[in-house]
Amino acid sequence: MGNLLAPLLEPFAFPFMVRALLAVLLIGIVSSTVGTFVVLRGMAFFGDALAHAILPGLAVGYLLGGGAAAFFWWGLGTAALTALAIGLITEQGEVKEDTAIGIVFTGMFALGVAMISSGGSYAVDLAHLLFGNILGVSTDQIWRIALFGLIILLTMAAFFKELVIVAFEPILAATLRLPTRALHYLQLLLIAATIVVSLQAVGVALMMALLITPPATASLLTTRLKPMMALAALVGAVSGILGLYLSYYLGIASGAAIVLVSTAFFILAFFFAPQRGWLWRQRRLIA
Amino acid sequence: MTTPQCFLAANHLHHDKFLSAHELSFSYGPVTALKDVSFELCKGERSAVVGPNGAGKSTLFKLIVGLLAPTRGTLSFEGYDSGQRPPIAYVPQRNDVDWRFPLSVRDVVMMGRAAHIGLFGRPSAEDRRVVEEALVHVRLDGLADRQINALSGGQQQRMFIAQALAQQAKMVLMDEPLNGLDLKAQQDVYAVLDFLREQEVTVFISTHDLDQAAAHFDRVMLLNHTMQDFDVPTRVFTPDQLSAVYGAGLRLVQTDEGYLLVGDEVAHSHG
Repeated sequence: MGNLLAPLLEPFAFPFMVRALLAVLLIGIVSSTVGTFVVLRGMAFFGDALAHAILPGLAVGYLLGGGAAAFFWWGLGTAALTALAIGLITEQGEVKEDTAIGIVFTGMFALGVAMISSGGSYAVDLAHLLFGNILGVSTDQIWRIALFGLIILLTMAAFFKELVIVAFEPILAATLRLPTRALHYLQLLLIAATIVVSLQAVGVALMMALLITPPATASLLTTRLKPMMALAALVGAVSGILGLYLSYYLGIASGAAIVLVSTAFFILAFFFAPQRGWLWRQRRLIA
Repeated sequence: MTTPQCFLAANHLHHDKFLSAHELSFSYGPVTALKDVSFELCKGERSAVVGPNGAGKSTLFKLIVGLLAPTRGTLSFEGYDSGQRPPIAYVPQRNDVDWRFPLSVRDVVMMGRAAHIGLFGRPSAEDRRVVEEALVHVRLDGLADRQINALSGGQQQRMFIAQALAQQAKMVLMDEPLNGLDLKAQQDVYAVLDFLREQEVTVFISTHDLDQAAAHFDRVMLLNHTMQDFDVPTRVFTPDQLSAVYGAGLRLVQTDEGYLLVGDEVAHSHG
């Protein structure tokens, strides 16, 4: 038995692997739970844009040399500002939402690249920001991920009923005199905070996968919201762990490995999900 | 005007005034959507608004429900201070709803209770009771645990009416609720609307189907930015009035089966 478990336990002889494991577990759960709303509201593009748009914030943290904490706070501030900016431009009504998102996204991203390119070890540092560096996560960072993850999940739980109504039936939210605008911005801020918390795992470039792939997988397997969120969190956490193993044994980048595993789960669900998978649909056509 | 206009309506019992609109106007910037629309609606009355696309029907609904504020004119609700309104439900068009959303019929009906439950709250025994009753009234109690995508078109409409009941709405506004429903499904929706009448809930719907409007509604409003007429269907649906609103390309033929609109395409391209 010990021999069988050895390959599973071996990576965790290294403290940095234990920290990475804790981090991907937490990140998988938080990003997939919040990501469920991203998927339901069709906000994938917004999520992707927001992740890219925080690059200048990270660049400031990087240039000031404040370490992981600086990255986190500058990233959070930039994400919040970007979410507000996109919201306000859209509210103005003169520019379509996806256009507004596209402009803010690329403008901010270019600013970030420009800032980082002025620094010293451009390629390496940019790569870390773009693709994450979960193996380098510190104990401090894990605590921050846990604390902010908890705040995000508790906030979502507190406003759950209202967030669902705003997502599903915005007219009802307005006729019930719910604070729809505040709830919309709360939703944007929750996504922004989730991105910053999860950044260490997969970086800016692959963040969208963490937000949407596990919930999309879960959506094929259940028709109820809370089970969908729970299942998404499970898929997200398992993808993180399996991705870490894959990264360790195949020597591939951890962020890419995590995303590839969650993509594999989606493909499995897409073909084999009971009732709604491709295979079932074919069977129904034949029968 | 002391006697409510809806007093004219022939086939219902309740004549208490529900709302009065006085010279209601609304413009989106330079574009006038509604101009000087004045009318009254009674409690328990069931009326329809008809008119070409872009005639201002949706704008009128949004003003009534309070999603828009009139640029001119007033809207007042009997027994409420100005600016206040009773609970009003606005049933969305079926095409505007994401039916893949992972919710059960009961979940959607429970949403109508959100204002009663309040922020951070959870449904009380009373909330659950109201929801179950609403489901029974629209005869969806057997389907309460179904995912909303598994409902037929008529059942989807009845689900939103149940949500309005859960909301304890005094008025239900419905945008094209009968579009694409077969005869049986339409009848089931009318049966539920009859129940709303018993509860003195005012029902106001928009439709393109003049025949439906004539057959099932106390009064019909003919609208094209201004209000052409608002009266019992037989008095509203005259060839002159209809061509005034829909344009000269339209002819109305009255058959044994009811009204037949000829040249509706012209009317649709009009707005």
